[in-house]
Amino acid sequence: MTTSAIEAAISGEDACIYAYGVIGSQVRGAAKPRARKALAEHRAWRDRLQAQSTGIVAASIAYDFPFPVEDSVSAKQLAVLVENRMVGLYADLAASVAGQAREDAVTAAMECATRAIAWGGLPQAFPQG
Amino acid sequence: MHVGVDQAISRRAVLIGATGIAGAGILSACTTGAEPSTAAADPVSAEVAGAEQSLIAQYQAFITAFPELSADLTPLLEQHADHANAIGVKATATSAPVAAADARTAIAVLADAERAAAKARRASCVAATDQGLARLVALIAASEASHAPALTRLLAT
Repeated sequence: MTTSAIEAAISGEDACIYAYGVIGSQVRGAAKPRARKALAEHRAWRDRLQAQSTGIVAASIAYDFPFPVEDSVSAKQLAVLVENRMVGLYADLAASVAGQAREDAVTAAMECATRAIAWGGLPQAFPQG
Repeated sequence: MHVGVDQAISRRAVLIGATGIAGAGILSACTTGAEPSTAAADPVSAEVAGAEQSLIAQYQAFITAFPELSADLTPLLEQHADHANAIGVKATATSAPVAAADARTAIAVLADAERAAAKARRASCVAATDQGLARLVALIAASEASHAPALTRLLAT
């Protein structure tokens, strides 16, 4: 049970990292370094989770997006979507672990929800995608 | 990008359903002759419920004092009411609302309160013994963390 929640979070981070590669290529101006920073932060969480997981989670080569991402506006919408989806996965992870691992999962959820706002998302009572 | 009303309602129903199950467990323990103390609200639920009432009272006080903030603050206030409903425990505010000299100060006070609340909910989540409650409180922590930049964004405009 713990393994599946952590593997789901790792898979989510892989998809998120892929998404930020596309987002970073589409946004302009101050959003560009913000996308780079978010990408680095998601990579750091992915590596941290991978170090805690006994299984090996392979990333996909490519992912389908729920809508075409071909400009700055749709790229920011994708960022809001993936960040909020990560909140849900980290909440699942928080529920399945305890102690420091749970605190870390909540910290990650808080960071993802905060980034969703920075990308133009509206606050939600239960952010999860 | 934002969820439709139907989706938001069903999501809320799922969350309320999850805590409802936890509540049912407590009630059935009571009818099978457990100690009366086990029928009391889970301490984590009580703590979160009290904190939500404090935030609700603070938002209401600032909306009353600065009606021009009502349109921006009411959606956030409603999300705290959603948090309180999902926890499903009756509680009274654990702290009295503070005053602010002007609207901008009020927004800054709320942003600070949201950041503090998010950190406190992270601790509540770690303390939760029920997995469904832990998941719910993790989402509340994320929501409150996201309220802070949503509020400070108002100061930039």
